[in-house]
Amino acid sequence: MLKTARALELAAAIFVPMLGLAAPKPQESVKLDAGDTLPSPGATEPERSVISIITFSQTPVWDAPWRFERVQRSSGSGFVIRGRRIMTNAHVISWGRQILVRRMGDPRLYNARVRFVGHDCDLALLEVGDPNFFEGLEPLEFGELPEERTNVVTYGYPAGGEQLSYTRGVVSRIEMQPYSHIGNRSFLAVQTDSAINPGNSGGPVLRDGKVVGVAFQAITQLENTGFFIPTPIIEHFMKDIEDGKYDGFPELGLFLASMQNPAYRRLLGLSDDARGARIDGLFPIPEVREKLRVDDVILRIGPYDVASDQTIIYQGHRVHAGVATDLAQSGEHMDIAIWRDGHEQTVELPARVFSDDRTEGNQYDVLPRYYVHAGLIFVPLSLDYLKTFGRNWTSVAGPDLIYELKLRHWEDPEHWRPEAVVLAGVLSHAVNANLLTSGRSLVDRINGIRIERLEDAVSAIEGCTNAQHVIEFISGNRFDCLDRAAAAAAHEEILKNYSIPSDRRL
Amino acid sequence: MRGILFIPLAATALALAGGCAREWSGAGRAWEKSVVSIRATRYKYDYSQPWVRETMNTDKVGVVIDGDTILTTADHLADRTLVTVRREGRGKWWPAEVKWIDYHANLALVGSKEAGFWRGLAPARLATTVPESGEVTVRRWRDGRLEDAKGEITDVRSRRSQLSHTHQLALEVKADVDGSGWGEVVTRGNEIVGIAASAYEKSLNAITATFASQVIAAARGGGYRGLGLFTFEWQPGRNPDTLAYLRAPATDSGIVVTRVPEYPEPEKALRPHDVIFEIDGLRVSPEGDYRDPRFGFLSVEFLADRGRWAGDTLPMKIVRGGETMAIDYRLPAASYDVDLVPMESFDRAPEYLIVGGLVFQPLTEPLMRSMGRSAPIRLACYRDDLPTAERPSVVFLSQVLPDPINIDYHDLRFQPLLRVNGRTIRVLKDIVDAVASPMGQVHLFEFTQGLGLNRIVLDAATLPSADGRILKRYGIPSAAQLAP
Repeated sequence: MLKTARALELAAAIFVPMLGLAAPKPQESVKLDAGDTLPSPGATEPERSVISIITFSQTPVWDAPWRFERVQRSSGSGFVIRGRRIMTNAHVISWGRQILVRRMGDPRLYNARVRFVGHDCDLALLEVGDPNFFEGLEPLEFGELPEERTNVVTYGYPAGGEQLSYTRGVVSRIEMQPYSHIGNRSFLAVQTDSAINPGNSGGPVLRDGKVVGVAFQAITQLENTGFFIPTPIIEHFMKDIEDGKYDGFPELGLFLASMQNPAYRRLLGLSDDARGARIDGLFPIPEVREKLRVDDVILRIGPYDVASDQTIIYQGHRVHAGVATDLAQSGEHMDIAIWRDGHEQTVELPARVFSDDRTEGNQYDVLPRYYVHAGLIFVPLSLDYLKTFGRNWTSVAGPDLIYELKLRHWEDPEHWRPEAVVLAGVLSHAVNANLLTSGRSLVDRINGIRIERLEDAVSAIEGCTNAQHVIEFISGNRFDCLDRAAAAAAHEEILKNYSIPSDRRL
Repeated sequence: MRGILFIPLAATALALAGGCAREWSGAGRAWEKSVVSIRATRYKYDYSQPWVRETMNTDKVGVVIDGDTILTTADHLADRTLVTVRREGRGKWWPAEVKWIDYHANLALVGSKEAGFWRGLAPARLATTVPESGEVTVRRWRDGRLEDAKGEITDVRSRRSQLSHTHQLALEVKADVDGSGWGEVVTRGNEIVGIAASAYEKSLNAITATFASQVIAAARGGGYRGLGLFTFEWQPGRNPDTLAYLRAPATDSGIVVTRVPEYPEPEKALRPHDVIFEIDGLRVSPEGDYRDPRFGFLSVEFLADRGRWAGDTLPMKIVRGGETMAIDYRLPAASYDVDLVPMESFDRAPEYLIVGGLVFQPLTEPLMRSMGRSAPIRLACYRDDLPTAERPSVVFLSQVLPDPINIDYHDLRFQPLLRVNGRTIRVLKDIVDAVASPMGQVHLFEFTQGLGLNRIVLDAATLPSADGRILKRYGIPSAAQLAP
């Protein structure tokens, strides 16, 4: 499994304070082949445009969302691009309270701010207020998707070092990979044996003097297996922000399945060749369900022929057909050639960013929502919340929580809740001392109202006129009650006792 | 659910040395004629390949309770192929047979037709009262000597059976006995007071002799209906706000019913949100226990087995909708069918069915346990669900045996099955009938709409030949192992 680059950065941060006191380590020289970019001191080489980034971040406490964890210092890399901006990874700057950047060989630190961030594709653009920062720095240009077996050089400031590091490697593989920063998206990525270590994140990967990718993650169990975000993904990000906001990568809203079983091909009237991948399921999106059906066979997405193993040929590489969708911008329409009832036909589908599953992935930069009443802490169910259970959260969290977060949407869309709500915990007070639950319970109804989002919990409690609040949980039909008047009377005192500045963030 | 703390250790652990205080007296020698060794050879199934079975031996302890009967626990006597017994801790193993067994009670009676085995053996007496405290002796054969370890009763409590949801009165004995929990005989004076059923570190739990006596007497008396079980679910009623909401007077606080079964026997007397404050004439506390006149607070679950049998009627007092009423609760029989994912499936080989290399199995706890920590969450989700008439079991695709007929599906696993050829699959056998009626030229399998494949098809014309080919290639003796 991929370890998140974020985790790598945090690991590096442990050493950062000491590195600031230690003598700089000598850098190993890298022998470069013809075609590689040669770093030479004092020249206007690309390395001068590689930036060291220091981020002071503070993440919220997801099960007590009015609080924050202590400030973390982490380091990463970036590089200057046109428009006096710095490109880096989203995970280098997420939850940043202060972002500092430093040029190669320059002792000064400059304040930077995030101009755009794409957490799905793990890219971000920074701006620096001080115009002197960009003096003498040439923006790096982007190149093409590199070929397999070609050499690339990764630039960056790994392990929090103050000296630029170069590592050379070979492009080993180009395919879709999970992007660990967001956790629930996969995009095209390039694997290289170039060492990509903590702190390399956000640094450029160059070939023939041009940026062919942004280093971003590694597989911890394997040596010398690093990944970089290739230019098609970077270009998509750059085009996306042209209108001044970042939308994200769109989805077509369907599940593809390979179509190599002869019986299934015959059933759907397909010839015995390698064309087409079958639709095995559809997202619960009305427009998608209106235009497509299960067992339609996708023959082409835009200009790309779809093969029976769900792949397309993209720039000479056989990659998953999802790449064809990723090339579209949100809102664009895509022509999809399908095989249905023995005939080929074309349907036009909008490419839309799908965000219903955002809580299934890691969330950033938007403070978590919560509602507290009489010591009862209600939060939306999310991956971030479940991770508060510890490293083995999958074992600690009951199956009901995991099912609701990960599977309900797909298996049982009729009963899916846009934002399932958890009673995360109970702040002890005499008024709630006899509750049976101490938290971590998925809420089904409050005062008879089905809870589909956090606001439902607020209105169910604040609109209650009965003598007791009745909170029903999904697991085992359990329920708990709270005297309404006593709860209201104790509410402010509890907020004060536990230093909660506001009883809600909606 | 089955307790996880008290786990019988492997019988082979009996060979390990244990240092503990021993007694050796005339009384101790008398037990040599009553305590016997039992060796059970049984099938051990590989749930990842349910057509594969090995055999394993388990050494247990029994005690002669009359001229030709040995009492022991039922644990590890399921799926047996051979039972042998040995007297006086040494010499030959004699053929024996299980004369009676009740897994829910975790008790078994073993006999032998070999007159030579019984010669000179003396039955021991089962105590008629439950000791509440004091010293006891834990006895078993080890290395040809009767080990008799001193122990002390530290508690008497209602404990869930090792093999069932039923609760039994158990002696908690602190004793320095390694690897116990296999029927070791707990004695006081010249009486049996308990049979060890489980152990954890230096503590063991013993089924009381009085419970064993009652069950054996009922079984011998004919018409044994088995143990009862409360199949309704409840939560403690200690929250006064909840009681106020349910309009239960503070004086009538008890437990609150949360869920009642629909299947296999629909619950008729109780409803969700009933407050039960008295069962069988005994006051139920809001914590979910009752005060036993002798043993203090015991779990309310034990009231299903406190001198009662399946089918008995238990009077209950409840509050429903603010109204206090008396009801008669008919005690359901303890059964593994009360769970959607049965906690055990004794004396039958694990079910499976192979169709075109697709291996289907019903979801059971033994299967889940065999997967350990790698058990998929999707399947674990079913543990909280109750069976219904529409879905009495979960049938799922456990793996695919790769073959040309199932190309595209080789990596599928752990997918709950909904329909085959349009027919809803309630139990594994339904697949057999469904496959008899293909949809035109194919068989269509539909799974829950999860993140795996939802639909797959197999060629109907070539399925029979593929089945034969697959069984031969993978060395599988039969395409199916179905429940009778």
